[in-house]
Amino acid sequence: MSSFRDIERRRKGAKSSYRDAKKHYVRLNGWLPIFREYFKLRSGEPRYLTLCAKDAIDIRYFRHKGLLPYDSEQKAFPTVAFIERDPQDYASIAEGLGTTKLAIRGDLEEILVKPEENIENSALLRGSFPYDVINLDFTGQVVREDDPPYSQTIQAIEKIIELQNAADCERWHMFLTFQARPETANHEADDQLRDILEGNLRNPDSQAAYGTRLPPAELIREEYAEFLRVGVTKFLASSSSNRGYASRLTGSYSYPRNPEWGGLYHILKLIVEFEAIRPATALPNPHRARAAYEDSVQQIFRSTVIDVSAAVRNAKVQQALADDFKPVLDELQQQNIIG
Amino acid sequence: MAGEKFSIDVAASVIADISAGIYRTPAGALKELVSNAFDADAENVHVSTNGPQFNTFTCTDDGSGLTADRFKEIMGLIGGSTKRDRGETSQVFRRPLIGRIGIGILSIGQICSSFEIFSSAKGSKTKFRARIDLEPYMRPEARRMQLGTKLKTDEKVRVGEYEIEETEEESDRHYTRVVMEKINPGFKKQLRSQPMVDLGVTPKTFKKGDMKAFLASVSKDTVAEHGAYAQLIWELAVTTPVRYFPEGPIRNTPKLNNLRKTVESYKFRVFLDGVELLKPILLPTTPSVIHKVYPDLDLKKKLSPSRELKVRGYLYWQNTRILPRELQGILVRVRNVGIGAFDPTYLGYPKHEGWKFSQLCGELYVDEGLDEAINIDRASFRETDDAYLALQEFLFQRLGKETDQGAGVFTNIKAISGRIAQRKRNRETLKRVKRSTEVIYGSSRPIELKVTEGRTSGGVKVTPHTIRVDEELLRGVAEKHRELFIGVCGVIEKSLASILSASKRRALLEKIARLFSAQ
Repeated sequence: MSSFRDIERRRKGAKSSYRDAKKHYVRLNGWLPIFREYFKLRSGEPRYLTLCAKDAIDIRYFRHKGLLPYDSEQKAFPTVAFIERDPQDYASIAEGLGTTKLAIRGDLEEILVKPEENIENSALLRGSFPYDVINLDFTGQVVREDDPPYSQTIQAIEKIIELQNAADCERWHMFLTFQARPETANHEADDQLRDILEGNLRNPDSQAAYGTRLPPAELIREEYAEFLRVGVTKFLASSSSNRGYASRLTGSYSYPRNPEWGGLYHILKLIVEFEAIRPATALPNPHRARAAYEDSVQQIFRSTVIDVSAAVRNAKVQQALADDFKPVLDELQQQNIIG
Repeated sequence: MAGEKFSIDVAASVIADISAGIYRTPAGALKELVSNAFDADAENVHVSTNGPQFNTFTCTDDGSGLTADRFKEIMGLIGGSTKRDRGETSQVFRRPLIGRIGIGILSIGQICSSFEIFSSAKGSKTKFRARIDLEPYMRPEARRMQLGTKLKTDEKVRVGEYEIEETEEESDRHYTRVVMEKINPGFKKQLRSQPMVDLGVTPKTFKKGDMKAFLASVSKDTVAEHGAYAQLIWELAVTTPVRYFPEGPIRNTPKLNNLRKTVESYKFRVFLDGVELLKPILLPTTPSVIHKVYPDLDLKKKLSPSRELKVRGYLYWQNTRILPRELQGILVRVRNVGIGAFDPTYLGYPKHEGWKFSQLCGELYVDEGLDEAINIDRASFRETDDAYLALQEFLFQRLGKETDQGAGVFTNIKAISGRIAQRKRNRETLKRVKRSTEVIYGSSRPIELKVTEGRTSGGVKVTPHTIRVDEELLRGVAEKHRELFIGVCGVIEKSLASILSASKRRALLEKIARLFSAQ
C-alpha cells in the first residue's frame, strides 16, 4: 500500500498543476484539434476513455468546447469512460461529473493485465471498447526503476491496442503522458530501447530521417527526454504494427518540471494516431506489419518535439491560454469539489 | 431459589452478524451515513451509486469531519456513542442530534465488505484515511469463533479490522468521504434488475428529471414495481431529514408551513446521483380530488419525571386511493428521521377500516421521548415501550374516537364520505331524470315524479312538469326500480294515449309492473 502521505503529495501536485499554462497549451493545441476531427467523424459523439484525475479537466474542457456530448438533463456524459485508482479522486469525479458511459474505481494496468484478479472491472472495461480517443496520463514513468523492462504499463498499452483492434476500430488516437526522469529510469529498459534504436539506424532511409541528433548512446545521456520520446513512440509503432495498426506520431510536447520534492524531470506528451492495416479476424501479414513499422520509424525520426516552455513564454499566449481555460476554472470553483 | 448459577455467553460472530444485518435494506444503511452527516452539521451530502454498474458507492459530506483520534475512539468502541454527551443539538445549525447508539458506521457492512473513509475535521491541519475490512468477520468460520470468556460489561468484540494513516490537510477543509467497494452481490444484482413496468425508474430516467418527475413516475401504483433503484431513492427521500417540496407536503395548507420551515431551517441537502432528494410527499395527488387535512396532531405527555413525549404532525385524507401505495399509512419521524416506512396499519390500529386506510396518510414528528423505543435497526419500535404505547394510544384515539378536538378521523371520514356519496347519488338521479325527460318529452326539463293515491283510469297522468303514477301500479315494484318504471309509464302514456284506450294502457302497465316486480 502506497503511503497516504505520498499519495496526497501527488494529488496536491496534480491539483496545483492543472492551472499550469504548459498543460493547457497541449490541451488547446494538441488535443483539441484531434477531438474536433472525431467530433465530426462520429457525428458529434466521439468515444472517449480517460484517466482523467480528480478534477476531470479534460472532460470538462472538451465539454465546454462543445466536443463531448453532455446531457444536462440527465447530467450524463454518454460517450465518456473514466478509470481512477484513488478512491477519493474517484468519488470526486463520480460526484462531480454525474453519469458516464463507464466509471471504474481501479487500476487500469491491473485491470487489463491481471483480469483474473479484477473479474468484474475487467469485463466492464473490455465490453466498453472501442474508443476514438484514449487518454493515458500515467503521471509517472512508463517503466519505473524497479519494474521489469516489459512493465505492466507497457503491457497495458499493448492490451489496449489489442482491444481496439478486436472491437474493429479502424482509426483512433492515443494521448500518452509520462515522465522522463533519468535518475529513476529503468536502465535495463533504456538499454533495450537504445539497442532497437541502433538497429533502426542500420536502415539508410531511417538514418537519413534521424538527422543530426546525437548517436543513441549519447542521446540517452545528454537528451534523455528526446531519447525516451523517440524510443517510446517507436515501441508503440512496433507494438501496434503487430496488432493490426499502422501508427503515426501526430504531435509531441515536452516541458520540464522541478518540484520541491524529487529532482528535475520532463513531462512528455505524445499524440499518436492508429490506423487499421488488418481486421482482428485476418491473419497477421508480417510484410505489411514490417512496412508499417518502417514508415512509422522514419516519420518519428523526422518529427520534432514542441518545447512547451518556450511556446508559453509570450505574455499574449499566456493570456490566451488563461482565457481559454477560464470556463473550466469557473465550473470547478462553482462545484467546490471536496477533498 | 438457591440453584447453581450459569453465565450467558455470546459468540463473537453475533456482533459481526449485527453489523451485516441490522438494516433491512441498503437504503437503511445509507440512511445512517446521511444521519451522521446531519449530526455533523453538513449542508450537502453527495451519494453516488455508479449506476447502472453499481460497483462502487461513495458518500461525501461537508460536515465538521473527524480527526483520526476521534475515529479511533469510535471504532474502538462500537455502540458506545458519546455524541449526545455535549448536548442534544448539533453545534452549528442546532439540529436535534439523531445518533445515539454509535453503530452507524457499521451500517456500511450491509452494503459492502470493505470500505475506505477519508476525513478532515474542521480546524484540523490533518486528514486521515482508514481502510476497513469486515470480510474476515463475515465468513462462515467467524460463526465458530467464541469469546473466550463470558461477555462482561464494556467488553469489546472484534467485528473487523482497519488501518489508518494521517497526512496534512488545509485547515479550512472539513469533510467525510466514504468509498464503498466489493458491493454485496445480491444488492448489486437487485439494483441492476429491470423495473417490472414500462417506463420504470432507472438511473437514467431518474437523472433526467427531478424528484417531482420521480414522484410522477411512481405514482401510478407502487414504487416497488419500479425496481430496487426506485426503492432506494424512495426510502432515502422518505426517511432522511431532507426538505419538502416548496408547496409540500399538502398543497395550500398554511397550517403545515411551520413543519416545512422547521425542516428547511436545518439547511440540509442530499443529492443522490446528482439529483437533490426531497421528501416525496405532495398531496393531493391530483388537484380535483376531495381531501381534508387534520393538521393538529400535537401531543405533550409527561411519562415520568424525566421523560416527556412531544409529538406534532398531521393526517391527510382524500376520497381516492393515495398513490404510490407506499405513501399510505403513518410515518413516525424521530428527530426528523423516518423510522421504517409509512405504516399502513397505523401502529396496529385494531379496527378494520377497509378502504379508508388506502385514502389516508400522515406524519408524526416525535421531538422527544421516543428514542429509547427505537429498535437497533432504526426501522421499528419496541412496542411495549411506555412512550410507544402512549403514541399508539394518542393515534388510535385521534383516529377512532370522539375527542375534545371533535370526531375521530375515521368517523369524520365516514361522515364526509357519506355526504360525498349522497351528493353523488343526487347528481346521478338528476342525470337520470334529465335523460328520462328527454325520452318522454323530447327535451330535458325539470320534472317531478309523483305517486297518486287511489286509482285512475289509465294509471298514469303526464303534465309538462309532473308524471303521476297510481300507487297501486307501483306496489310491487322495488324501490330501486321505481324511477325507471315511472319513466316507462311516462313514455307509454305519451306515445300510446292516442292509439290505445285508457283501460288497455292500464292493462299494459300492470303487465310491465309485474315484469318489474319479478326482477
